[in-house]
Amino acid sequence: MKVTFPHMGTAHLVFTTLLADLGLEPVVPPPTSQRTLALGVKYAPEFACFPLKVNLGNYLEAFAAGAEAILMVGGVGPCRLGYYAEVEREILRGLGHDFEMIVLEPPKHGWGELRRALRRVLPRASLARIGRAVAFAYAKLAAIDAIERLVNRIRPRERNRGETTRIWRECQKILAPAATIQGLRAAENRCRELLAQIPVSPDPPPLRVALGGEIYMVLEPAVNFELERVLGESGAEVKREIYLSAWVRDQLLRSFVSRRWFERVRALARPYLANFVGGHGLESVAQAVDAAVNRLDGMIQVAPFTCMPEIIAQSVLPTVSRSLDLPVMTLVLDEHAGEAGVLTRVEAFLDLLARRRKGVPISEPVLLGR
Amino acid sequence: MAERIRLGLPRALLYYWFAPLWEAFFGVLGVRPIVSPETNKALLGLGLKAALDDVCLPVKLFLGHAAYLSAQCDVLMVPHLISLENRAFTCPKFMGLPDLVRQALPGARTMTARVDIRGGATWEMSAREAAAALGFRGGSFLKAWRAARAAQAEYGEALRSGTALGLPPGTETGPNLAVLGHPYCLYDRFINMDLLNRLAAAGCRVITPEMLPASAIEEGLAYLPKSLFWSFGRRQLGAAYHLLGAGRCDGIVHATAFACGPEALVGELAEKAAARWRVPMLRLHLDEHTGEAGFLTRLEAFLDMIGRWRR
Repeated sequence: MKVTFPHMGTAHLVFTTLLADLGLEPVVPPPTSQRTLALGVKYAPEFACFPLKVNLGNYLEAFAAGAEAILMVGGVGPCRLGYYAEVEREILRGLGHDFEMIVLEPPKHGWGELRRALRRVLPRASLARIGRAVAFAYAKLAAIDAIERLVNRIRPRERNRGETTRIWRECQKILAPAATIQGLRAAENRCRELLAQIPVSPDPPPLRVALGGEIYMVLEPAVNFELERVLGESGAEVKREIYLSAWVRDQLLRSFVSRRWFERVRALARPYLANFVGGHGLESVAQAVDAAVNRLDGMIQVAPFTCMPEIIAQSVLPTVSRSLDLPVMTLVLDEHAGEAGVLTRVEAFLDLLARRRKGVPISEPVLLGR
Repeated sequence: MAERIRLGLPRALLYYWFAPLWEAFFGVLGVRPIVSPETNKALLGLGLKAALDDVCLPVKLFLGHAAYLSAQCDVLMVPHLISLENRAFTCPKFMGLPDLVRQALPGARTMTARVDIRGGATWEMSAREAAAALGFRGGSFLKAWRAARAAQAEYGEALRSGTALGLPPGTETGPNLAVLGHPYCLYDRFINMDLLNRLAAAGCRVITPEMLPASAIEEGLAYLPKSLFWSFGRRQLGAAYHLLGAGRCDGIVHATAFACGPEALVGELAEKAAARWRVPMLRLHLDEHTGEAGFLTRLEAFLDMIGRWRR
């Protein structure tokens, strides 16, 4: 069966392997482009969150390339992601497409749903085979994320602007075909070698900026105007907490480590946001507190328009910013956002952070970056 | 024993569902509940100043009512209604409401009443905590709680029969209109420009989700392949599917706050269902900029269309 999935950063590198390992035929949607957005916006509800619109665009382009099924995650709310698959199915069926929607629900209410979904698509695959495929996919995701973390550390100090990004694209091509643990380790080592050879300045990066917010907008460069690259090439080291491998670990695996980690998130955010509000609301606030305590220069929160958890986080961030002396800027993005406007704001924000470093006092309204 | 504490109850958000419960409980307990007036321009103004741009209008109104009350009362009650049933939430805004109030009204003295059915915090536990927070102990809680439950049950009946709203009954030949929306969008006459009265005055028989018994809602919800995890959304879709399936509505009006998250998805599903059943549907977006003329024009045009459709 030809199965497609939504784009989200480097996820496609892993989905492709996972589907192939399970004996299915992966159909990678064309890279998210203006055309993708135009398609998605046309058929999605106007006030649906932006990621749903982009998903739809990906699926429509994938159908044109022959996809017969969609692999998607579910959820239990209150974030809307949990109902994406249902709404997407309705919209696509309404447009006349005949396909199978495979939804991976988190096992919070038991493994039954997940098992049934997998059985429908893979009636003959043993649980052991599925388990192995999932375990390898997770290992691959973790390796890719490890390399990306390294890229963020090296990029602000590169001597030749753009070199790290070029090597990162190379690394993705090297990691993509890895299909065994040995192959993966070899690919990862090769990437580390390549990154180690990039000429860098011995000085620490001029600025360190936390990047957080809603997971999709943080991870997908096609919708956030390649924010991470822009920040890195402007000399700011990007400190990101959100990585897909971490999300998978926390949502689908619920390890002891992730429960303790969530307690830490709650504790950091509690003086400002004392309650779970869905999505990454608490994480965004916790990350701001963490950034302030670790004396980062500032934080950028990225969210789609109407994202409810991030609106709550955004509402309380001014208090965090004021009381912990951390400049915070929120970028609310959707199909109407313009590159020039966004990059101008980012440049202005970095200017402000640089001036603070040199000890120039800034009056309060400018400090909040709004 | 505390003397009569003035407790502020904002007339916003789920006040429209639970007013009798809260007013009876606190009244019998010995507290003086002070409710804000019906929403008006001044309260809206206070809310707009207190809230972030992107917050939905109903929450902005809550902040406005809260800001107004904080000057008039000793303690402001901020309901913290996280989940009203198993496996469903209210909305992230409700879940973070105490934090939003703290941020917007830093000096206010507030009391929260936390209900989280999904997480095991029942209404009774919440009421007990509220009573204790206000200085009342032991027996007085039980009497107040019984009175509160009786008042709420009576109100539920009144909502179901439609008498609570005091709407004209609609003419015999008037269309049956399902009017869907969150309670604070349907029953706040300022935010929705007196929508229900206008529809009833035009001869429509108005049916809101509150007017349907739980069994009808559940029957409608059975159409959904996956259980919906927003309580308000469940009532809308359950009502819509039930009324469409039973052939009991000639049209649907969906009143939603501008940029309401869950309603964007719920509305899409309702629209698809209405299209399948070939029933006209009107989406009304409510926000602080809504102009009356445009609103009325759309309403009139919709009612005209329903009239023609029926003929």
